[in-house]
Amino acid sequence: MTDAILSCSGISMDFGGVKAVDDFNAVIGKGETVGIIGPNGAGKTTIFNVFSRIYIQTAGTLAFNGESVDHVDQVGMARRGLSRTFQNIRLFSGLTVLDNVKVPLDYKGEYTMAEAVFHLPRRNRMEKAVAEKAMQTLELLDLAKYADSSATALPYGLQRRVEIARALVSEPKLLMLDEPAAGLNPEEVLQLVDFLKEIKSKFEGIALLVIEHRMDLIMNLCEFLYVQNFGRTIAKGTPAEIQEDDAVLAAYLGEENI
Amino acid sequence: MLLQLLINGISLGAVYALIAVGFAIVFSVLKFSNFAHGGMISACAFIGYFFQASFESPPPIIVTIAVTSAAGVLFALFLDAIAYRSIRRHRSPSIYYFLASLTISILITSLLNIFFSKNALAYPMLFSSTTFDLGSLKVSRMDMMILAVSVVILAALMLLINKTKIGLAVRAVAINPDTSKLMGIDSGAIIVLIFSIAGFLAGVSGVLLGCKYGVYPDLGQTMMVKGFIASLIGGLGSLGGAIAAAFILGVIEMFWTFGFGALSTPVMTFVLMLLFLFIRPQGIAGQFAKEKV
Ligand SMILES: Nc1ncnc2c1ncn2[C@@H]1O[C@H](COP(=O)(O)OP(=O)(O)OP(=O)(O)O)[C@@H](O)[C@H]1O
Ligand SMILES: [Mg+2]
Repeated sequence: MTDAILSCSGISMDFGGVKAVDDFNAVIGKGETVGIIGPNGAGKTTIFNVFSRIYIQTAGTLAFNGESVDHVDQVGMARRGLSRTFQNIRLFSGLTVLDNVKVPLDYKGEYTMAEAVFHLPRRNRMEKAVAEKAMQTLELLDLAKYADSSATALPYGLQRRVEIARALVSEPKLLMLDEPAAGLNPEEVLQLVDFLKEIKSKFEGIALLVIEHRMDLIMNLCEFLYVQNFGRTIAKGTPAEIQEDDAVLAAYLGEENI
Repeated sequence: MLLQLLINGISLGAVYALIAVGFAIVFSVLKFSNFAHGGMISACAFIGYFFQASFESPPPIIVTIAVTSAAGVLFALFLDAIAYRSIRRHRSPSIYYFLASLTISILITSLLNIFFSKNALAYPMLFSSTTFDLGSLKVSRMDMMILAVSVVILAALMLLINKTKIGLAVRAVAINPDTSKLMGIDSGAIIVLIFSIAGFLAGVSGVLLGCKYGVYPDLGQTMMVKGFIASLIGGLGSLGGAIAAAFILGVIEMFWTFGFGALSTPVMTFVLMLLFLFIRPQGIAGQFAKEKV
């Protein structure tokens, strides 16, 4: 077993009596691709929200890269190398693709107000470095030609890619994707699988955690799966094992196949 | 004469622009109208006056502006610490910011009223002669100084917001603070930066307005209304729109005053604002800074 980038034990999340997540335990190894599947309302997005510290779990502990992060906030989590996309795309509307991708690089350029206002060499160098880094990431993901387009004016499929580019630009250790195939047609789903595999090869050592409904995507991409239903883990294992699992077939896959 | 009015109007618009931008930048990030800005302007006008008056021979006005705007920043940080920080910590809705800012503005003005009379104090004479001739035009040195200072500051601010990474962070937080946090941007720090910028602008406009109109407790409140209207006409939260609207407002006011007298000018201004609210509520810039998701 490789080193864990993220591990959690006994994570529960209550919303006034609704147990959205109930005793979730998981280990994600560095460089692994792990999937979370389950029907609507199973608590998948809530798990992401706890990992990125939007919610503080009501029970359980969370560690990132070997460090306990129970008291770390959203900003701290991002800076430690966790980034994510959203079920409903959340690009900055009104900003160009390039500016969107530059945003996560922002905090790294810490210079004084005076330097920010006046054209000083150090500022210029940093501004340039950020623009170059963002452009490189766009090129790497074949998005460079859209750099100056308004991000939210792009077609849906491209917006998803831009969101992934934005999540990748800070070279995270763990990238979490919330239903990246939602709203895509079957052909686009195949392209997305290739795209994600490309990411794995271009960003060495990056771990992926993917929430997905689309079996074709999850089975093609993930090495390990957690199956959630009503907040609980009803099965976990390799895709092959999961496909054989009776409980899963009954709760989830069966439904899908009808 | 027309050209003369135009020049005066532009100079007036420049001061409005400084106020409007101070308003708009806070609105863009926090989605509330920061009425404390008026109190800040008054306070800064007094600070500038007393700094200037504390010397036998007054320092160049630019020194007073620099010192006062630094004081404005400190003042803004102080207000943030006593009033706004806990609102942020409790994640209270923007209406609390609004109420706090309104209270602060009234408080500052009332305090100034206790210590100073309503009679305006005049800044020491800045220029030995008040006007210079430009062809057939008589141009006020004061107006030109105000215009020059305002334009430089506005340009620097626009550069900061539109061309730097810090500016990009401000824009990102304005569009969506929650998503920004997940990108590693400390939105609390950005908010403090925004208040500092507003304080800086209050410092500059306090001195400029003090020079032009004299220093009295209600100075800021009175002038803030113009900035508020400009930021509204410009499209709440849009810096470019606020600046454009402020210049237009300055010029229109100048011409109106010339044609119909000063008494009806405020009426015209408010009617103009109402017209905008009816016809084009999104303002000149055409879009609201995107609401929170
Ligand atoms: N902030 C919240 N307040 C109250 N209830 C919430 C909140 N967030 C999620 N829930 C509830 O938690 C449960 C799990 O929601 P979650 O969004 O995690 O499901 P999901 O597995 O991502 O579903 P989907 O496939 O529809 O995206 C749902 O019953 C939802 O209503
Ligand atoms: Mg979900």
